[in-house]
Amino acid sequence: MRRRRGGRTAAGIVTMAVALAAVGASAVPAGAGTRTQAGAASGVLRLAAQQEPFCADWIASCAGLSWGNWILGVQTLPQAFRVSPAGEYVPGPVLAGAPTLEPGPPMVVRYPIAPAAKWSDGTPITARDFAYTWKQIVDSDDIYDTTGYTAIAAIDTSDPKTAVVTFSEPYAAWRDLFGGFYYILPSHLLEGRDRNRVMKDGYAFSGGPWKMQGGKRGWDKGRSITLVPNPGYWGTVPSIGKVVFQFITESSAEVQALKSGQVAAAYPQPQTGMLDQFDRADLDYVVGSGNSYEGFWFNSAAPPFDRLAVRQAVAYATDRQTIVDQIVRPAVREGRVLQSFVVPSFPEYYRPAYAGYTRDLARVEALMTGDGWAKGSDGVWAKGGRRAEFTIATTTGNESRALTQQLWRSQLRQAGFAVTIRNASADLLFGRQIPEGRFAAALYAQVGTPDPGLCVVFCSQNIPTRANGFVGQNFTRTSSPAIDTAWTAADREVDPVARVASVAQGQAALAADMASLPLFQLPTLFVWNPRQVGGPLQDNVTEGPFFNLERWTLR
Amino acid sequence: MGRYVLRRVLVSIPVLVLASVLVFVVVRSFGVDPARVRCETSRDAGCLERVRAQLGLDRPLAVQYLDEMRGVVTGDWGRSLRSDRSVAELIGDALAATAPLVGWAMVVSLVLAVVIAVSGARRPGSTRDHAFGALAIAGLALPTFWFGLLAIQLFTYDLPRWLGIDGPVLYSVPDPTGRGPVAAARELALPVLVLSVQLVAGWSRYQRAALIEELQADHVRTARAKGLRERRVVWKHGLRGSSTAMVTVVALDAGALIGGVVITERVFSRPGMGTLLVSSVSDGDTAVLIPWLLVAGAAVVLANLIADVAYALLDPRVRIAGPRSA
Repeated sequence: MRRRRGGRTAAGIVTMAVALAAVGASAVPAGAGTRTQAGAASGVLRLAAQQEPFCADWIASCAGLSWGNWILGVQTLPQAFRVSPAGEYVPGPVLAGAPTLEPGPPMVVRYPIAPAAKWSDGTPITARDFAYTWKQIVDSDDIYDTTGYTAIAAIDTSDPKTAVVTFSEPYAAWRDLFGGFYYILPSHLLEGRDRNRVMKDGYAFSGGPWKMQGGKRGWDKGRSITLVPNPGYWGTVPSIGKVVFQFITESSAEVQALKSGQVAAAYPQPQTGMLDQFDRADLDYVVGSGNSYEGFWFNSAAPPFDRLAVRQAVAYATDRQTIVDQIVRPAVREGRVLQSFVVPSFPEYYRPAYAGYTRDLARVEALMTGDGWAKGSDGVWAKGGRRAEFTIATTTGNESRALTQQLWRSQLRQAGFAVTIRNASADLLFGRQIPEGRFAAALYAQVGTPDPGLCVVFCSQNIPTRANGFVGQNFTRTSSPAIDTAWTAADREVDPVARVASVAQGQAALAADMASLPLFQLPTLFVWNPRQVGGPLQDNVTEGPFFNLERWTLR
Repeated sequence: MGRYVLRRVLVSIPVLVLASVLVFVVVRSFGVDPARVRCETSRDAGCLERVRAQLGLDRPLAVQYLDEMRGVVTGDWGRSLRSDRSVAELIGDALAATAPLVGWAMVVSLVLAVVIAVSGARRPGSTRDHAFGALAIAGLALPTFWFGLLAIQLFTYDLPRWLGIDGPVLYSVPDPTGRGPVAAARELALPVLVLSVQLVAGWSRYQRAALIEELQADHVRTARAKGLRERRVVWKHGLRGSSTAMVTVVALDAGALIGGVVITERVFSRPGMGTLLVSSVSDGDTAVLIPWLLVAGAAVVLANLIADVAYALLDPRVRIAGPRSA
């Protein structure tokens, strides 16, 4: 989940072995090709993508999957700010330099657009594209999230190469605008047309180093997305002639494809024993823990999580340390319980607000009985004829999450809660079920940006509803004045030092309301075959490991 | 022969109709409301009623069924509730992806099963016969999923390493960049192997038993008495007479193959009918599910029809014993 901001037999065997050897001699590995001449892109690189995006209309509610941004969005469209592997904002290639901020009031940001920046058809990228993108986000139906864009009062386009954005109120996370998981869109191609229809299944235009091969035809649904270099790109031009992102949703199939050289790199969710397999196969990998946080997310609008006492009791029934010990440590050989939705990677903001939530069955009893629940003959809490039972959803095909669910179900059963596991494919879960509130509890990770603001995820104005066309990322339907006050203040405080206090209050309010329960910083695992691919390979927990794909080389 | 085929086709029609009624009633009664799925992201408060009317969901179930069938017959299969893609296109793509897998699995399984059966039936009780018997039991007992993983590890990783080959020989996942028969073979070999194991195991045992019995029949004894070579006796006289049992099993397994395809496509990350079934069930996409089940039902009926025709070709008495002469 993305957060926008944020005898004969023997003879037969011998024959087969010879045949295999013969075929193997002409085997083409995942990263294969030759450099034909200096500067000419050539060769084919096959990469694994664990999840297939639901759509490619990046500002629409269907585009909630981080994988879509990693493999297609950041490759093909410009962003005002990019996020470096170190977790810092850096101006994107579309800008001539860092934007300037005038705190105001009114707050004004000036984005200097690079003179050479142009779309793949040669049309210059201008301030009109910023204005078009903003208007689409605030005025269209079925938008993923409008946070921050609704704080924009106007965009001055009089100088085509400088977008002057004036805000109606201060907005601290302004670096996430026209960036994060959103992109600048080509106004000259989309204005007056149905943006969603043009983009949702892929698009031919590009403002990045890559473009889809043959436009929409570059997305073979259920199989792959194929990218080729954008010849009109003004920045670093790719040296690889074609990149194929192949959808392999099963962890075991992905690992085997990597080991056998069918794909040159992958970004799998770490599972127990994976690192040992990669070691044995002489693959290189890097384990990271950045701004992604795994947690149990409770739907506060759905029973029984509409009761604060139940949410807190479930938290006290959960042994998070055991989950980390059983799931994270065996997978990446390290890990610890996360005590906030602001990760410790940002020490100036991080506060261990959830540290008090350790497994305590006496507290569970006290909270539940205090709220009028009593245990039935089956050992499950009940109140007014309703049992404390609910479903937990996560993405199919992820063994670690499946194990986490099993552990949690067992822990909660001992505490008097009946849990049913009901999982769905990632595109359905994040494209539909969670945004539309069709879940009780869910296990997934949010991918954040360097900005510590969490209003986008927990403030009540960001609850997606049928009435607002399911705009917003407060999927847990959290509605708490204390949370709203603290995180809105954090969003409006532009001074980073003054912001620390608001962020601390916000974390305390989240823990008190038990909006959801953080589990651990999601470990990331970027693995590649050094015999097939080279270049500056490194993980970027916000933009994914393919963020600098244009600089990769074939071996 | 033509009349016989026509008669079998006519008999198949009510089976198909009955299957379609069952599929439609079960899915519509216990599945997800298509209008609700389509309106979930709409701001329009009247969406549900409007879409219900558009899709004809406000009419009696029988009328809805007739509408659905009219659409199926005329080729208008509607659109996926989830992806909004044409259902005919989705199923067409899935069929195109699954057909080579199933086709090759059937061919490979048939050939291997017959060869193993003949080998065992010629010398029942021999070491070779016992060995094939043990292998068949092992094949039947192997869970497809587990065998798939084992085959992937062995053929895509261990074996190339032992042979000193750098790079994949057989693929465990489809190769989107591959073109031509060699690429297709490398991509299909392992899924076909995995899908075939249980078929070969089962079919070879049936064929062996039938062949042993057939080789003791009078006409085979006569053939031997006339001095025909044993190979000719077995392959021409024995095999032909015993093949009806095999045809029955193959036809029956056409339905069971669907389960194998679901698992095989999952293990090998292949798109196809199995993958489409899993996604449409998990996503509650009844717009895809109903046509999918109808296509699968039609495939089973077609397999049985082919089996009936094959009976008639193998044994002319089947043609004669129709309703007129009964």
